[in-house]
Amino acid sequence: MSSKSPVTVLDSLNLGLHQAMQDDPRVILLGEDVLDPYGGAFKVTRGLSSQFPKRVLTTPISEAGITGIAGGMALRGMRPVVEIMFGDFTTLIADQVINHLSKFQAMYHDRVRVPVVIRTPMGGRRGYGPTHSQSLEKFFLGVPGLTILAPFHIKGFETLGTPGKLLYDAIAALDFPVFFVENKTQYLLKLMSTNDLQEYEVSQIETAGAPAFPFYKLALRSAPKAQITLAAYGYMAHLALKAALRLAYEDEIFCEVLVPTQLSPFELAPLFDSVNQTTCLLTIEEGTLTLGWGAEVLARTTEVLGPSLKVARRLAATGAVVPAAPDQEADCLPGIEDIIVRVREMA
Amino acid sequence: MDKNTQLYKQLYSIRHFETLLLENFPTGVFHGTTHTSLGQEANAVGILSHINEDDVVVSNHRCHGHFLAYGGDPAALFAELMGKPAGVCGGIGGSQHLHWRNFYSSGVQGGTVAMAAGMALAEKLSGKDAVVVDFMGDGTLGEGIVYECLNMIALWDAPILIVLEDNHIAQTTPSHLAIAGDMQKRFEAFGIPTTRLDTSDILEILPTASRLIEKVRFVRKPQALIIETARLGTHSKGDDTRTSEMLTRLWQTRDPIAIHGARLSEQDREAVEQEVKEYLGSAFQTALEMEGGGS
Amino acid sequence: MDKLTPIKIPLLNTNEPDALLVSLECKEGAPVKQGQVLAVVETTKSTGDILADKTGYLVGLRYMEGETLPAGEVLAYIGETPDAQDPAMPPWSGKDTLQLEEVNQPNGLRITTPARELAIASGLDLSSLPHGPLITQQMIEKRLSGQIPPQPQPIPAGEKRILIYGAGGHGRSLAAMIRKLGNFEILGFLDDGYPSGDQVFGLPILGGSEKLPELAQDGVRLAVNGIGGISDLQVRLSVHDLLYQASFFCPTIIHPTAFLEESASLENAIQVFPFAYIGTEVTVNFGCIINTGVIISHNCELAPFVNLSPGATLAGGVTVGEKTLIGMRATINLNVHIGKAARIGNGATVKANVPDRGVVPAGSIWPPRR
Repeated sequence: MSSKSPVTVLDSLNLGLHQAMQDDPRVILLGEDVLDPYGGAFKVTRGLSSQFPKRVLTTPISEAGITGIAGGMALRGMRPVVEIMFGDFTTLIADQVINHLSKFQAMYHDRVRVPVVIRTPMGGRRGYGPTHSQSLEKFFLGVPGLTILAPFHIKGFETLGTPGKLLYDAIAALDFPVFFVENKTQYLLKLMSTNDLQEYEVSQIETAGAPAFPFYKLALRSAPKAQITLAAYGYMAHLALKAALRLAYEDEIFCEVLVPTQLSPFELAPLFDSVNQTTCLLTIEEGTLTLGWGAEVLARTTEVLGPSLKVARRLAATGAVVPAAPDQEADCLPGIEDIIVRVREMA
Repeated sequence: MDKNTQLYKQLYSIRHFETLLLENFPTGVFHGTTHTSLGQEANAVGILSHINEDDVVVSNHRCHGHFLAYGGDPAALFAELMGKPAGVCGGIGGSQHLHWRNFYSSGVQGGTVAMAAGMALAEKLSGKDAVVVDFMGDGTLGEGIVYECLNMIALWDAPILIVLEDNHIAQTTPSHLAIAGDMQKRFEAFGIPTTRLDTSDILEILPTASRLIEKVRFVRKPQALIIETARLGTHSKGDDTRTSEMLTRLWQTRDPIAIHGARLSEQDREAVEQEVKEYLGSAFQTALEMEGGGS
Repeated sequence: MDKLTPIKIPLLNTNEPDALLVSLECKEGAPVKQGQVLAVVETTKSTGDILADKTGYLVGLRYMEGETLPAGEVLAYIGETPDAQDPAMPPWSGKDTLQLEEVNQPNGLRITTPARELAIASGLDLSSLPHGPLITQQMIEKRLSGQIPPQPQPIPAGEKRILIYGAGGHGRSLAAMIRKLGNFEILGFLDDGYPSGDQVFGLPILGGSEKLPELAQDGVRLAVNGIGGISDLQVRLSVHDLLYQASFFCPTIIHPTAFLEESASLENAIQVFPFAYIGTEVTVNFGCIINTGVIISHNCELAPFVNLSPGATLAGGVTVGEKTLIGMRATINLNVHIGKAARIGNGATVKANVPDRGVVPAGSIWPPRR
């Protein structure tokens, strides 16, 4: 088991899983190659099968099957956590997620609960190629009855770290289906402590949703007022922060970075408040552009702010596929330089 | 009431319910679509006669027979089909998506097999001796998820009885155009013991069902039962491409109500039918008078 | 401003200035009772508890579990309300260099590239810039265009008006000293915690920090820092920043009864209280407070912002690092070196070097006997 104090996002998530399984005997984990010593393709489940041998199921390569089975288990009182090894494979579970898990509660007239958490790593930058590098969460955004969460790599005041706490809450405290979007590169990020965040003023804002998940706002400390809002989640939030720092120090363009942890249902009040002040919005995502996360964010922001929103753009992945070659992959997926260039255009 | 009469009453209740449904659909009192169990009543009654209160039943789009044989309230089902708030699922589920006590049904082929598999595993992990009965059709065998789940059901010893009602047709597609190889061997390929019945006679179904359910309950391993049966009605409404000769033949040879009814005296049969007609007629009225369900 | 009692991180081990925060027993805003364990810390050799020394609410928590705590730093405060404000800005880490991968920064300074390039091109001394706020090109331009002239710079002859920033005890003592000196005209106090117009110590409260630009416009150029900063140095330092930004100059104030050897050299913004003695060849740097009755023997050197409490006694050759506080009647032996941001308790006897951020408890002997 990992050390008591998590250092990386991966540690934090692992700790969250351990704590959830420890605290509730109904929690059961299903996934491919999750048994120790391998402990999962990205090691997020490391240690679990040793500690809870009866509650960690290694499965055949049957994403749809295991998701459906998790739904059935949940209906009968268990709290399953499903690991889909690569986010790209979530297309295989779409029917079970959309037509089954997220509909049971409503179509059975609120008489059942479906406490399933499906967790999966999205994202590229590892050279794994077109079918192992995508960010497909956009296809599940807005599915009624489905909550989509993405952790942020901030330590916060949580012993588990905020990623682990978010996962823990998703498993232990929520009774409806959750799609927990992780990111391969984000796993390795060190959790930011107060010391790491000295350049920033960090606020954690609770959204209006029930339950509420944290929404973070990071502005540069003791700097001129922000003139543009950057909205990003997951790994892209890390890149947005780096870009914001460089933009401030190199170009004197001041940004504030807004990071939701709940992607769907959309609860954007803190973002609206920020854009109301800055009047300028750039959304940044690793998924593709059309009908992506940014599209919905822009639509909602326009609806709420109207003419107060002066400039709004989206930055997303380009190209037909995510190439395997590192330089081509870097061209396709938005990086710090891309963010900086786009912000300079907008300022 | 003796056993045969009791069984006839159950069979006829389903038959008459579905008949009322089809008769009244054109009047606009029912909404949406429905998939009647005409010809397959004996499967439902035969199998569900042997389950306990804690057992779980999962069905598919053609679920009315299973629901009523399970003990579901016909008035509530009528109301659900009428789209009324007092219906089984508040009018939200409609014909295909029912849930009451331990009964669940859903309308996506194959998806329900996964749901049932998960439920069986949950029951097993909770240490109870409950059994899950899952009803699927021959057409369901086209879906990949079925095979994924058969694999896991066998791998993890899920206490489930899968009942495949093979009526040789999936919507308008006869099974010889959709299914290659052998149906039974599909289950057996995963090591799931499979029994095959070719009957519409409830008295032939009952003992097999009883044996299989007990086996699942005590051995805690899966079983499959393929019942060759006949769908005497359309797939939903108006979608039946079989010839009238074929249908006539099926009605004459594979009608469970006629087969079992022949065992009763005409007097007893008519008494039962009358009782059922009154009971269901009244249920229908009750449902009609319930609030809501605007067109 | 809310009354806040800082909770300092103790020095558990002479050789280890840092401790690991093993667990936090309270959350931000939680009520705490006097004597309650707030945190458990450990070094390679020992574990210790950090206790609440009064009842109140834990606020301004600056570190989290798993982090390394520098001894002498503030861990958190105990406030009177759960949402009492942390008066300091970001955590005072005592680090001189800000680690930023993307940007190269001169020590401790936050300055944008355009600002730095302009400053260097114009020959502006970067060390004259305040730490804390992000320095932008606009700010450099203002400074260069004369709107905020750098220090030191000549005060117009005859300009005697002076402000005292901070109307607390320290500020009032300064008022008394300045009155005694008779060479300045005290306009009044600036204090963010008093309503303007109030009279304190016979002098008006002119307002808060917002009054500085107005007064500067009016030609007022002189101020003294009336914040003692015993409980929280950061507040005192921010006042220096504020004054600097507003282009005020802090003259060194020396009470007539203080005795300074001729060979002693003093920087600006120093305050020397009654009966203090500053010995031969002593160097006192910017912003130090030499309180009543302090004895600084020959050849001592005090880095900027050192605070010597009343009666503190330094033997010859003592060097004290910046921002260190030495308590009342503490005795520092010959040639001892005390590091930066250290705290020597009242009445302590220091016979050996004290590391950066070291904390020597009041009345104790340093080094501690084993």
